[in-house]
Amino acid sequence: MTIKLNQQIECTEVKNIQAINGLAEEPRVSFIELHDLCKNYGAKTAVNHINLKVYSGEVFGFLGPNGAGKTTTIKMVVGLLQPTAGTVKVNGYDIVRQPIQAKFSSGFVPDTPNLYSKLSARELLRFVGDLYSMEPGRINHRIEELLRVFSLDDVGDNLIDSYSHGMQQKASLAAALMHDPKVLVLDEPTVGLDPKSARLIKDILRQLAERGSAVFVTTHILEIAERMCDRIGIINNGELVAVGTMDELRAMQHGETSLEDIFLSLTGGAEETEIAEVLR
Amino acid sequence: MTTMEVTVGNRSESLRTYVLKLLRLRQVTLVSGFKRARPMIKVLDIGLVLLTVGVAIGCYLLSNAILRELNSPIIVQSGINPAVLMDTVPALVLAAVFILTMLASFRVLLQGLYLARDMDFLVSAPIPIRAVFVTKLLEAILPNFILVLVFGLPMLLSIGVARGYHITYYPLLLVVLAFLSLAAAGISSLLVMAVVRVVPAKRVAEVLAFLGAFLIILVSQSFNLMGDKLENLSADQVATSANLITKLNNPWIPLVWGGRSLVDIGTGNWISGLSFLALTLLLSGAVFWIALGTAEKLYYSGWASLQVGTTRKKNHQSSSHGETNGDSTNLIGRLLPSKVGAIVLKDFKQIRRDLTNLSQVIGALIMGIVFGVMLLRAGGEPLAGQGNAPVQFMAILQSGMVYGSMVIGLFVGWCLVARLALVAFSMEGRGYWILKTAPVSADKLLTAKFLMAFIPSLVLGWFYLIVIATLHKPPLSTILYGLPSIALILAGLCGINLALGVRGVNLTWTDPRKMENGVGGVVGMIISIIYQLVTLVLFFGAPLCFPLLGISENIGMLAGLLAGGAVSLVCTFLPLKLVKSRIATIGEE
Repeated sequence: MTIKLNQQIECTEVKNIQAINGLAEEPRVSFIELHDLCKNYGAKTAVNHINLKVYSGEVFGFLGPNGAGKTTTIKMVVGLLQPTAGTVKVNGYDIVRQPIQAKFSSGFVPDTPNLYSKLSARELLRFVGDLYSMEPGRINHRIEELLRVFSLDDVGDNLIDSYSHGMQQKASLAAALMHDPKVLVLDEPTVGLDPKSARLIKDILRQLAERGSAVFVTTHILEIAERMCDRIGIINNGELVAVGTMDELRAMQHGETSLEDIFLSLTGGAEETEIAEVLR
Repeated sequence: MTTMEVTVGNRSESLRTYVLKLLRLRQVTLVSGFKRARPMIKVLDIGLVLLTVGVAIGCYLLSNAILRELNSPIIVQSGINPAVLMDTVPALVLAAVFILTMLASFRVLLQGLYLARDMDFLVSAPIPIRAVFVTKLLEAILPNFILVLVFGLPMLLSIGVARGYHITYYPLLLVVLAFLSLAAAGISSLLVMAVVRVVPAKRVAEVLAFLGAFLIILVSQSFNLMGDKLENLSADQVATSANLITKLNNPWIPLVWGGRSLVDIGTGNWISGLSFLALTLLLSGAVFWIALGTAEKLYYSGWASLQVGTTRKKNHQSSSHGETNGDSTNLIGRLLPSKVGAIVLKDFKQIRRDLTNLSQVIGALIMGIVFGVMLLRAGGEPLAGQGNAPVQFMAILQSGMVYGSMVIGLFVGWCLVARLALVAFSMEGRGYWILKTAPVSADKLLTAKFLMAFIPSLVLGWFYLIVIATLHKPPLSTILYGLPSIALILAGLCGINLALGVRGVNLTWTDPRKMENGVGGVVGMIISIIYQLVTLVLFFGAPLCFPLLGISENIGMLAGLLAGGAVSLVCTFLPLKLVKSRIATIGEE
């Protein structure tokens, strides 16, 4: 059975799952579907048969130690890397076979905001608006709106190479939000941001989810994940070792109370003896 | 409770030890870079070293030849004393070394002090700050010192040999060179700090790259324009020039003291020589230490890092409706489909605003002007030589000169294509993710990049064709034939170079001048030259040869357009078709 979301987009219906944040149970659609996803770099397997769905209206936290395969997975979701095997569907479209349709639905914020340094933020947003075939009037409106929200309106005409890291990060997020995507993918979005900007981003992600978008976010800050994410996936050595709400993860780990404990027990934390050895 | 005692090492390592440690770090980086380089790069590096040695030997031989020319009849007729002229040269060469080292060190110090981003690490390490600065200055001097040794030293040595200077001239020459270089680098470090206080370091680097490229091309091409005049100098002109040179060797100018001291010592004027030598060494040493101390203080106090008056002007403003006012490139953007136009506009803005990019393009403009002037100076007549060439050959050559303006237009366009098309994808750099995650098909991306390279090249090629043709006054039919011919040939060049750029794309550059890997550039140049030779024969062969066979030139033009156009169009589309599938995987290496 399929659910018609709008005139063009059809998505596969998925099973009803437990309601999030106290909302009543209702059929939800998966905006991101990873099926047996694999990525090899030569002999090294970076991502190993991952199966995962991220639904509309949820913020999904994707956690894992350094080199676990988070960024590789994210890059395959947004079309930056071609999978070795398996499929990625974004808003029902296969990212390899229907890349244009899939990319129309998604926005991406990379961990390092490598933007065009010789454009201003305003020009960057206009460029992105044109790439996503937005109407000129809507582009202008959206640019002003986003620059205001991210407090970039005063520097919107300055070249990006004069921006601080935090300002570039905000410009990058503004660019990802320009076309009001159904799927927003963020790789470490709060790195290098001041507390106010980090809070702003968290609020925006929450609001996007409440409006029905799917937010797929990686972070190393477990407190953020615990507080902000509806569901959490933990990847280790390229394999998805756990997925679920905080309650489900706690149940899996026999009552471990904090996400940090759960994370460390699933991925293997630093041993005390090793620490003592280093500090001796 | 155990009391942990921390013993602070009381080592009294000298400044020299720290400087050597830091220089060793640079050496390790260089050696490691060479070891890990690709075989082709290693071969090129070794070739460069051999070439440098060859150039040094060449400079020595050339200097000897020039010195022999000083005894030529024209010099004798002009009443110049060759010995006086030769004794002036060391002073002028050392003054030039000082100025050039100061200018060249500026760029290296800008990189070392501001752009390399290792200063925080080094200054916070347990190393005397003086050692850090001395190392930075030495690193700035060393590459320039090698150049001085390659170009300047052979000349100074050959003068010493020719004039039979005393043996002490030779070791003292190296001492004076080293002191002058240190003083120059010291002043340069202060200049860098003063400039960066006003203009951001990155911008300064862009301006320097632009000015450097501009000057190099301007100077090199000036010799083309001046070639005839230099060959036909009169005895009076030579005498005037020689007098001017000798007047520069004025004892009141401190810059020439070093040279004067060497010449005086070389010729046995010991008192005068040693006095000038002492003055040179003391002054250079004092300048170096004062500059070093001041630079340290300015850097450590934060003065050199704090910018003044740099509130950026909103000179790239867009109106509230987002259209950049009065921008001709915007028209192009509006005429094209939204996505293609957006990419073309974005690329134009990036190229225009980055002076480092512009420095790569400026060469095409200057060379076009130089060749245009040379063509006009020839008056449309081929060189007659000794007059033994067959009449038919001279007739073809005469007709060929008519198409000269077309070839210059094509050449200028090619220079631009080679720059823009070859790096059309590489110029995206680490920001390529924006395009790759956007809903843009490979066809649209290739179209946008093609137009980004083709439009300015065509405009420039046509501009040169029309300007030179207006002055040169070829038949109107030739100009009308030239317009589509240039467009088609440039389109083919764009297709070939863009395809090569896709194959050898490099998104990890940090310096825009290193976007394109050397191998791709060489291959691109070879293929482009072959393609141009073939298409030039196809386009212009028939119009030139048909009249000799009694067939109308217009029919020849039509035949040329069909044959050349067909090949050009194939070269426009076929290479792009071959690399289209590669677009999907760019940036995944």
